[in-house]
Amino acid sequence: MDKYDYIYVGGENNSFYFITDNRVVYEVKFKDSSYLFDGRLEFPVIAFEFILEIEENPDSVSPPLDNKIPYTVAAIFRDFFAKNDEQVIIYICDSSDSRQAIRRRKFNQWVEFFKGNEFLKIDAEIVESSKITYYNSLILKTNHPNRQTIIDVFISLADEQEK
Amino acid sequence: MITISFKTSSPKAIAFARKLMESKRETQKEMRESYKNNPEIRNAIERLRKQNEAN
Repeated sequence: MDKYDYIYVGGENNSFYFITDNRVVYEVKFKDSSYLFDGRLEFPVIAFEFILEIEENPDSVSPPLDNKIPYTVAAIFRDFFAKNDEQVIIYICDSSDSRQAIRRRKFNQWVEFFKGNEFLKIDAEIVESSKITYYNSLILKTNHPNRQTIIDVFISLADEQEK
Repeated sequence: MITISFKTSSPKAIAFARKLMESKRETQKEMRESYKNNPEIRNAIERLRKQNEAN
């Protein structure tokens, strides 16, 4: 399936960029979030938070549905995992404008391109009230040697925050 | 993709989610500033634009 060309800007930014046919510039950033696991395990966990952001939009309205974007994001994900298949990815649905459920659906759509059992996704739904729900996910390779321990820590992270 | 889901409403989980969201907002702000001001990024975007136009 058709996807956009993208570039990687390494270093501190650790970001990929692509430009759509509508001239919208997207940034996909993988922010080092290994600190979340610090001191919780006997081995280091290389964790990155996945963030997708519109950086430039000449039309100033919400970009239209674009079928190339899911394929582009999936390709970037694969590229990033190819660098180190023992890293884990965390996704936090932005809830600042109450559109987190839409973002969760989109994110699930992107990662659905990973057919088969190569990847494992843990979805956390944290309900604050009838109007506020947070959606966070963890993705790692199914064959990760420390898979179960990392999943256990991710699930327990929230409950341990105030200890 | 194998998916496992869990749901919680514990105050500790909510505090954790808020903390993550706050950190994400800060990162998004930094991303926008970098995009505007980092010459390495500006150059990379220009290269990508030219590459797209050539295709």
